[in-house]
Amino acid sequence: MLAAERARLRARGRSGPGGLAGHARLGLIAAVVLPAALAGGAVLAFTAGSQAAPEASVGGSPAQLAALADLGRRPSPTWDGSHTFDARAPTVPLRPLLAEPGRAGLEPSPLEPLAGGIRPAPPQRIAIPAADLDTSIEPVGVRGGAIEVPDLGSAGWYEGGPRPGERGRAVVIGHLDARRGPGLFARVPRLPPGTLITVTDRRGEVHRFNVIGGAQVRKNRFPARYLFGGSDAPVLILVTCGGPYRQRGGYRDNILLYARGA
Amino acid sequence: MSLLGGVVILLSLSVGDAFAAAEIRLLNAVPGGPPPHLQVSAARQVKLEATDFGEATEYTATPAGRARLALLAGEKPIAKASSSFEEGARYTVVAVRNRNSEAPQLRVYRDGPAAAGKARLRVVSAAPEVNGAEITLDGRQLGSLSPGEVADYAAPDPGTYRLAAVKPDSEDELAALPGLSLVAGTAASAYLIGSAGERTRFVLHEDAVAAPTVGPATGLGGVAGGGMNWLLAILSAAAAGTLGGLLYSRARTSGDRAGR
Repeated sequence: MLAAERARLRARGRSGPGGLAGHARLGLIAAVVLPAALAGGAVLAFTAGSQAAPEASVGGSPAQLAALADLGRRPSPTWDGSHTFDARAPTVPLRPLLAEPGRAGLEPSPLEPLAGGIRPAPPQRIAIPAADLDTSIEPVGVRGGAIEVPDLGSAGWYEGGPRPGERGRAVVIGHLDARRGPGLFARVPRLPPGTLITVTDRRGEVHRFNVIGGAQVRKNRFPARYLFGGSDAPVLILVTCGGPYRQRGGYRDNILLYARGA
Repeated sequence: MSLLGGVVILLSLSVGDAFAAAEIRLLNAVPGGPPPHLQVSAARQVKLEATDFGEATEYTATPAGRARLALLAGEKPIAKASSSFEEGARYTVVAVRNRNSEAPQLRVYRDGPAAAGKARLRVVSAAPEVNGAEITLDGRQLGSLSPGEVADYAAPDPGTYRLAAVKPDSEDELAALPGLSLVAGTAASAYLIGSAGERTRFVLHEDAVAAPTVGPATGLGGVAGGGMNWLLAILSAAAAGTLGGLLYSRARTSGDRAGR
């Protein structure tokens, strides 16, 4: 009896309504839906890989950037965001420069370097207590038009510009992150105005700066004119990465954090 | 075909023209009156905004080559000149008061480049009523300038100086700029201005900055987690494929059994 019932049920399962056709349909649906769901997960995982890094505490509008860079020295240059500000590197050889009308024939008079007062020594360490940061600074130059990137374990000071503590805009760069985990400047984009930054130079002198704001700019439209050059007060600009991350090309943006000598 | 060739040639010419640019700015050293602006007529016409006495405009791109310059008060030309601009070079067009008449005059100075780590400074005499001036930096003589003349760039150490203009053979100071800050990586010009009763003084304008042009790559994706997510994506896709294949083959097997 039991065997006969089993056989009946088996036969029903194979040929009854929803038997074979239902089972196969279920399998096919599962074969399509589950991979689709997993593929969706894969896409989501990939998309998550392109997520944005933390952004500057102050927005990076052109007006804000111009105001930050200006620091009261001269009238704010305008930036409508429609063109780059990368200064074309002058390639002309230096020669005696004379006014076109009425050339006076003035001979150039080379001048020996003067002392110009006591400059701060090159920077050695940077500390941001609010970000638990205290690290060494190494001088960096330019390679391929970009500032050389320091080692992961230290910050880099652009040695072609002013030293921290003297008039002008001193630029210090650092990593937002490494391949795994945050870098030295991971918390830099979120530092609020007023945050204290200290730079100790090679003579042991400590130069203090207070954050006044930040900006986020596209790397491919790097606004060099707002970073480098003169200012009436000592200015420190910290530069790191920000914006969306892509496996190819890295971070799209740079974060600029402006601090004024305290 | 020849039409196409002509279009290609025209396009290439216009592209070439777009890149053959110099940069110029206007410095107003004419006291009194409304701020004038400058019109540059070359392959393309460029207009530089009006600027106050002692001030300079931003550098503006202009086609390289020969150009006609017109200083305008409103729409009225008050001075004209012509000049050649070399591709990639920077120039300052200085509007000065003509010593012998009310009409202003235009002078064109080629600005020099900056050098990384060095400060560069030159002095330009744009004060027509100052017959001669000895220029000193922290008491050391840079040169002697007559109106319109310019000294070559000097390269003092970056730092703070006192720039002064002294009457020749005298100790009378015509103008001084104490606390002149010369910044590493910049080239600047100090213009001696003043005429028609305006006090003689120096104004400083930055000519160039030695600067990187590309933002630094200071991120490797650890915060965004890009590297790990690639791995996740590949593993998910592989798992999806395997699972899908298993389910499909199982469904086919069930179907085959049912068929028998």
